Amino acid sequence: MNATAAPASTIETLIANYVAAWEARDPDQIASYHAEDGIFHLHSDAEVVVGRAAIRDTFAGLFTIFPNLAFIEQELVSAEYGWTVRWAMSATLALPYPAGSKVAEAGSRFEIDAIDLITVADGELTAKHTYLDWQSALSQLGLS
Amino acid sequence: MSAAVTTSAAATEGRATVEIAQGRVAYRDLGAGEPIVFVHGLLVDGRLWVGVAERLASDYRCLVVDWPMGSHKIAMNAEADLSPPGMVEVIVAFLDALGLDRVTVVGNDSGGAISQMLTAAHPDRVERLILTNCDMFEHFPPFPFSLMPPIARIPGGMNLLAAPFRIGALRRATYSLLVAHEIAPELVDDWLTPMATDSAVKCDARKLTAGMNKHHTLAAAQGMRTFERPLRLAWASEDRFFRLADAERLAAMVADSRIETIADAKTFVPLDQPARVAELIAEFIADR
Repeated sequence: MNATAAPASTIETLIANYVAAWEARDPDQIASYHAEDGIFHLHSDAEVVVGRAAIRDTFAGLFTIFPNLAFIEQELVSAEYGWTVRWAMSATLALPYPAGSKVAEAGSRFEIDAIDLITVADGELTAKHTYLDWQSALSQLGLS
Repeated sequence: MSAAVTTSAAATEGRATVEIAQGRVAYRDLGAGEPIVFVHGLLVDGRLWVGVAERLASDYRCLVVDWPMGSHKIAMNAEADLSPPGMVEVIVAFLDALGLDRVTVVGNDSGGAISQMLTAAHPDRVERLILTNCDMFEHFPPFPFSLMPPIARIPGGMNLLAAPFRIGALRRATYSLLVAHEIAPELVDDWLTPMATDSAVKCDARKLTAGMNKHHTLAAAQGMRTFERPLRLAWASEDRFFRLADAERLAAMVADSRIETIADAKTFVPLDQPARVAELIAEFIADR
């Protein structure tokens, strides 16, 4: 990793820009910080999303289902490899969401804990691993 | 054609497989005689029909296929069209590969919708259509499953739809709505494992789910008005998802039609009442 490790100031700028892009809920802007061949993996319910274009579409899909997706940062540790952040995510369903015979109506809200583990090379995100407590989301939505 | 048919591998456990343009399809080929092709729906496989087929195999050739509807163990080709009209062509390709000109088609659940579309699009391939409880008219799919296609169309949406099924109790509760009797938890687990463990299978399932739309079944029903061979319906009247009224409405549109109701059964009639379903199929075939 030493060959591609970024100086601390670059990482800090990247983090600030990336967080701002998420706050703007702009999938194009968010994706622009991901490497062309970067990956995004939402553990453990989803497959690995490979490539900037697919990552952009995945995040666009996320904003379609959860238009007011918001994050509250709880702890962020940056390092040579990238950064790790612990956050709380809140979201409201834009569409009714079925789970078996139960349905969470549009407008249902939940708030869950999550962790991102992000690696960076040459000033771009090469991998983003997101771990979130989806079980809690299902429970708050009355689905489990 | 039989050159393409092979038997192989753990994924197919003794079933034969056949290569078609869309990919490889596994099936059980039971008995000999007039051919019957069984069509299951989303997130189940041929085991839905095995109890029925085994009872008919003494007199008929029963082709119990694991259609690529999300519980299949071999993912199809990445570019395969598995939308509802695409699934119709998968069935036609299967018939072609086995050299079957015309067959009795038996459908259930979303497989029943595909069977109606097949009958409307390729009436020359259908000797008679036998439907058990299935999607029809405005109910492809019925509520609350009708909430799934809009989410499936959104990138990442299938993950959201699949997520609740990771919880054992929730997936069993869901399938229990579809039967009057008990359903083996191992069977439910097995039906949901391919989508949970193979992203290519999930991608296949997405194509069918995203494409479910009442326009297909409404058009198929209109198309079936000119169907000259028999339509038979073996219907569980206690089903909360697929109502007898829809079955009666379709029967009224086809000249040669007949409905028999089945007690003590729900959507998965072939699991709940395999003996009665087999008996009715034999009776329908003897009928005409």
